[in-house]
Amino acid sequence: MNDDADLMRRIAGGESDAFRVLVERYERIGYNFFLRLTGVSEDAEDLTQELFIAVFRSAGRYRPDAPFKAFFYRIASNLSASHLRKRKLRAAQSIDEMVERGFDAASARHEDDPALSLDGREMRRRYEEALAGLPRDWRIALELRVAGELTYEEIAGAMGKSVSAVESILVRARERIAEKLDEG
Amino acid sequence: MDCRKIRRMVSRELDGALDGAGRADLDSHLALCAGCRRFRDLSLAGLSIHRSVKEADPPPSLLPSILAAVEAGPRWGWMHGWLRIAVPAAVAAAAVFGVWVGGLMHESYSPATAGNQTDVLELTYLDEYPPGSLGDILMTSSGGGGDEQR
Ligand SMILES: [Zn+2]
Repeated sequence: MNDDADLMRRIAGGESDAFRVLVERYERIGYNFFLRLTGVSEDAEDLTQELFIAVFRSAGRYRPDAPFKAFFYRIASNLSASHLRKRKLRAAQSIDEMVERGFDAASARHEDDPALSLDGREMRRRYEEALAGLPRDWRIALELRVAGELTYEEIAGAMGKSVSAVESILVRARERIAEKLDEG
Repeated sequence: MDCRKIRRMVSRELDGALDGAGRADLDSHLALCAGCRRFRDLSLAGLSIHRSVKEADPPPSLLPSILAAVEAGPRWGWMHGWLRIAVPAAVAAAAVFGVWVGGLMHESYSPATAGNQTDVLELTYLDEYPPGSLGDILMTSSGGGGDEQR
């Protein structure tokens, strides 16, 4: 058997092969989660490494009755929150600078889409800008929902909030984004 | 039904969490309210933009560096409370003492030797609570992570 819970049990037992399988399985997910949130590939790389070190070290504390995905994203969310807090992104950097610097990586992955009209590109720029301007918890919640495809319950577990708080965050994040998309 | 409730329903709809009864309320409100229709259209556009971001490939060096970090890293996970500070402090003190004694014993001690000392002091695992460690996670989840907007 090679499911996540089984891998975690084996990792806790010191099997390095199991750890490698787990990293191979989730490395891309973790890296892209952090890349979306930080916009900086070096940061995403460092955070992904920290994430897996934390998973490895806490393998003995993992309980298989909770889905591994929730456990994984809980650590990832905490790392992101702590990283974004340290960098004080919203306070220290202007949104312009952030879009220019931070979202290069994400935006670049759209540029090669020839089907996208000028309006489409403008919408996308505004969307990235709106996203960059959201409070960090809102961004994390949105990322967990849209990219991570977590349910409200799973997001609540990952972020240590109530389901109703998560729902409110998502609504407010979307309202804020809609306002930005509507501007100009 | 007021627009605040409707926007919550739109958000649920985007997340595939809207039930049948909610759907009927939503549709009848949207037929009458241009503001909520606009919110829904823009939110759908935003969702589609968000989903269209292509995933990036992690750098090939990432996997080996994760495995190496875990392989090389001492397990500090068993340390709790004051040990978190006391043990690294003792290690640092021993290192400093060792360098001092070494300096006394070795006339050839030079600033070049001091470079090695810096490497020791830069060990990531000497952090009080390494990011992502259980201590850090527990600290963050119990106290931090607050939503500054509320
Ligand atoms: Zn309305």
